[in-house]
Amino acid sequence: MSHQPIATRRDFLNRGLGLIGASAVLPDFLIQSAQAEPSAQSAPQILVVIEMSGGNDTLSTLIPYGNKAYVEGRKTTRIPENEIIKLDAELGFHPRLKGFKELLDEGQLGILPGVGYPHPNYSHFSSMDIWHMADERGRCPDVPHGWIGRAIEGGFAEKSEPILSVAVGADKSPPALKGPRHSGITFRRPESFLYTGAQNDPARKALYQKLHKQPVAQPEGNIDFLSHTAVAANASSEEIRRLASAYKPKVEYPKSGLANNLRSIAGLINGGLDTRIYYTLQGGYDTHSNQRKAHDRLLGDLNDAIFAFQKDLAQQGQDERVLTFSFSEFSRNIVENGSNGTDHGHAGAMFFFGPRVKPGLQAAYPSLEDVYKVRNGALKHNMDFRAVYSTVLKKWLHIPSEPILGSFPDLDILT
Amino acid sequence: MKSTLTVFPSKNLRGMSATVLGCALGLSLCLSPHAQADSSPLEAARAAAEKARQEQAAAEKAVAEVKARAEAQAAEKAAAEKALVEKTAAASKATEALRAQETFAADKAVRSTKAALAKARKAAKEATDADKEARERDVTSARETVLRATERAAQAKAAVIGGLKPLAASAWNYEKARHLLFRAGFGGSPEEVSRLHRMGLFAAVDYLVDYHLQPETAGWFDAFPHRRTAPYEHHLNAAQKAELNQSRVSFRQNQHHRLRRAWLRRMAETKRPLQEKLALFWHGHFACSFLAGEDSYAMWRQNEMFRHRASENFGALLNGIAHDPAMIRYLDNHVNFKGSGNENLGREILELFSMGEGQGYTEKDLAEAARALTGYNFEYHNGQFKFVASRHDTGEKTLFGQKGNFGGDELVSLILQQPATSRYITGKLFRFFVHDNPDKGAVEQMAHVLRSHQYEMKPMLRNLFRSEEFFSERSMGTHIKSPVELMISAIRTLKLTNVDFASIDGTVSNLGQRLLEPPNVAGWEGGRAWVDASSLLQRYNVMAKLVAPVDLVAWLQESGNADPAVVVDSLARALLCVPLSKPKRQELIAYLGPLPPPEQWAGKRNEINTRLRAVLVALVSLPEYQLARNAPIRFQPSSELAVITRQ
Repeated sequence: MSHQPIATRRDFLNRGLGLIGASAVLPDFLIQSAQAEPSAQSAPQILVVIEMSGGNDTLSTLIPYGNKAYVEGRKTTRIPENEIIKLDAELGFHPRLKGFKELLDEGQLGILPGVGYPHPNYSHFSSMDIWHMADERGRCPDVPHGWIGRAIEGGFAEKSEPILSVAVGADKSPPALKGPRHSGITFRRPESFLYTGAQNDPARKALYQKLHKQPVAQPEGNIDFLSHTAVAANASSEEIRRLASAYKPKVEYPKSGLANNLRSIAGLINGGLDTRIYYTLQGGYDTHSNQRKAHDRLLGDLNDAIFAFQKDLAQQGQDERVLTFSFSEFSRNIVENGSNGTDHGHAGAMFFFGPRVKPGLQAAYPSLEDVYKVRNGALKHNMDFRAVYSTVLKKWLHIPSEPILGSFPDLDILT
Repeated sequence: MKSTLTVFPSKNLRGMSATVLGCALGLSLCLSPHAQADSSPLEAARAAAEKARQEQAAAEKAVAEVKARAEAQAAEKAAAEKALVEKTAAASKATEALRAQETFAADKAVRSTKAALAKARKAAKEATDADKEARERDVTSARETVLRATERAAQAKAAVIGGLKPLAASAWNYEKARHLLFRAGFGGSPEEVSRLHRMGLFAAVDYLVDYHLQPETAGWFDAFPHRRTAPYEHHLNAAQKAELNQSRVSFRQNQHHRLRRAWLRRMAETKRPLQEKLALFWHGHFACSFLAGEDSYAMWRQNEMFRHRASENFGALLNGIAHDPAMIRYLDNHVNFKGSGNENLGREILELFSMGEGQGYTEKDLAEAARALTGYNFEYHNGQFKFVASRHDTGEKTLFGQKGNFGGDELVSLILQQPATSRYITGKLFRFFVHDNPDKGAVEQMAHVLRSHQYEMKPMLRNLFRSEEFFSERSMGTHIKSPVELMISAIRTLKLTNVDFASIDGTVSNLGQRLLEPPNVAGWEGGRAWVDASSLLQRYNVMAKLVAPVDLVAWLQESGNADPAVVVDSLARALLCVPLSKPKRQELIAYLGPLPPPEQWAGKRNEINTRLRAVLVALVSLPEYQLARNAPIRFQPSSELAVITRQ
């Protein structure tokens, strides 16, 4: 397994911030990782979460092509049967999901087709909040932290550092990452996660580093909190940028935002960053009008990016320790609307990627007959998303899930 | 026949019956056929029984006596307590009367000293050159007399209204003036701070609180209501309707973007900073998001309501929010009907907007509040309040123990009658304006002032901004600037022009404070929630970018001091609210290096500006810059700093 050697970290400590002899100021994760010896234990399992924002139309992704309700409800948004990549007599993939089919055939893709929660919420923000906080109350004073923030706290407690959860490709920290001690690290691109005020002037950069090396005049309360946050920010900025720029992927990634994000994540995983949960997003799924054009492109990007990511990880020898899944805040109506598109529905498909995934459908496709009779019909879920989170936390990341999510059954989605 | 009967006096029936019993027993024993046989143990037993009976009787008598004494004492105690209550009431009346007299006398003293000052000023104006100096001295001493009299009057008033203890006027200084301007506004340039400083504590607070005396930014935003569906639209096909609908959505969203930017601009440019700061506070307190109804016109009207009623009567704000279309939509009150209610608005009004969770209302009160608000709705096409009488529950409701056919207006009145309301609101204002850990006593004092003025807020605000608590060590150097405060205060302090408010809007959104879109009905969490590893670097970066164009040569030139230590100190003093540690200060001075004398600066403007700006950027890229409170700068003797301040 080619795991970036510990020597690199020691080098970083010596060169990176000029912090020779100032190890007292460094966050624990950097000191520990420099002192650890490589071993099987030092390559813990990693989770990658892909948010498909806007409400992905499951009916066009995993298509029930023979179903009467589908054929009758969809006109301009229907995928012609001869284009569909058939999986069996009833279901098939959207034509742009060739990579998904290949992964499925290799036993590296699992599907839960009808994931949701009780009492559907058809508002983007509210429903997405529910997924982020893993709580039907969404973001409210009683639910201050997101599920990933709670997971990191539950798994690491006092050893928790912001580097443990990283969101790539976002300007704002996703609510899911918000935890009691910190909210992880969020950046658009690794190259942009840095202090730009020095404008590449080496003297000003040196001034910035020297100022941040000094303690504050009266360390207590908020100024102390701010200084520690600054140290964590500067240190992780250095390491992340160094690992990302040094990375040479084994495959060619396509050109899309999601592909760039996954490429960055592959680089950080390969570089040995201590992050346990990565988060990224692909937006644009809110296809109320002219769905085929937009959705086809999105699924194509999704397919190509994830396929490249999985192949890259495999060739770098990292794939055994990485589990990736995708989700959306809801899927869309069964019957299309008057603008060649679809409006908000409910239950949607989650896809799981990696060699340790139980391949194929792991649950029944939600019924197209017994649906919520709102507007143009919304799919009812047969799987609670919190059971998915719970299984992943417990069985993949080995973090006890009950204190974080409550009691949910274990799902048989991993090998 | 021997008789063991003993007769003894008894004062009551018990005693008598004991005697009778004794007699009967004695007789029966005497008459017993075996009586004569064993007389000795029997006699002993009889004697013991008698003795016991006597002791019982005595004890009962004692109990009775004690009881009688206790009753008499209780009566005395009640009388004494009554007398105490009456005396206390009389004493506080007397104290109030005395304080009223003191306040009246103090106010009168202020008026007379002000008259003397005016006279002295007039004399100074009319004086000939010879007298000028003497008249100027008269003016100065008259001013000081006015200040002292104002201070005494303020303290007398504070004693009467029972609010927070005012700061001693002698403790007023430049740093406190800057602190006041930041917290009761969005900060300002050193000239603005000096101006406020020269006014003295009381005039400075009055200047900020009585903002209605400052010019208003009229016509700051042209808001348009949504267009109502025109009759002809019913004849259009689905695609055309979709197109029209899309254009309406675009219009609304565009108006929403423009409104956010316009409000940021208003905060940066207003001559009434406290009004905008309070509007921001009320927006976070009565949290309501555009995203719920996407009615940008209603959000604008709500914003204007917060602005106009910002420091007036809290009841007016609460009443306004109960009738506010955007809030009605946000909290689903438009589907709160008689018979099939929706509790959301009623609940949040009690729980979050007025009294605080669990502070004096029951679940039943919540349900009744919701009933009172049934039928409160809005017109979709123009964002105006609409009362739908047919959906309003006119039945009797029980709220806070009172019964009546209450509607929203009565609900608000009843809420104001609960003391919990005054504590909750003043507690929140304290945390926004002072620091995060108010002690109960301080909040109670503020609440008392608010209640005694029937929820008019200006007296309470005036009392707060003049108080020792507001300027205390505990509230110095602890407040983490919100994204809006961070950006707007930089703009005002450095007098930045040509600001791109679309970019500012994007920045505060990325940093977590998108105006008109609070994350939930509890508003923004604030404090440390504003800062994490990513947002901290972002804050450094946006500040560095924002301050880059400042012409520091012009800014510092007038001081005429090219000593790098003095330059660094004056920049730090203008920007930071906690002292720089000595090593950091040294690094900055070392970086800046020696500067040419100020006369030569004009020729080398760009070069000097570049070096000065590097120091400025370094200062705003520090953890210390994220805080906003003024602390006395301890590491420098003030004589050196005096060179830099402008008069």
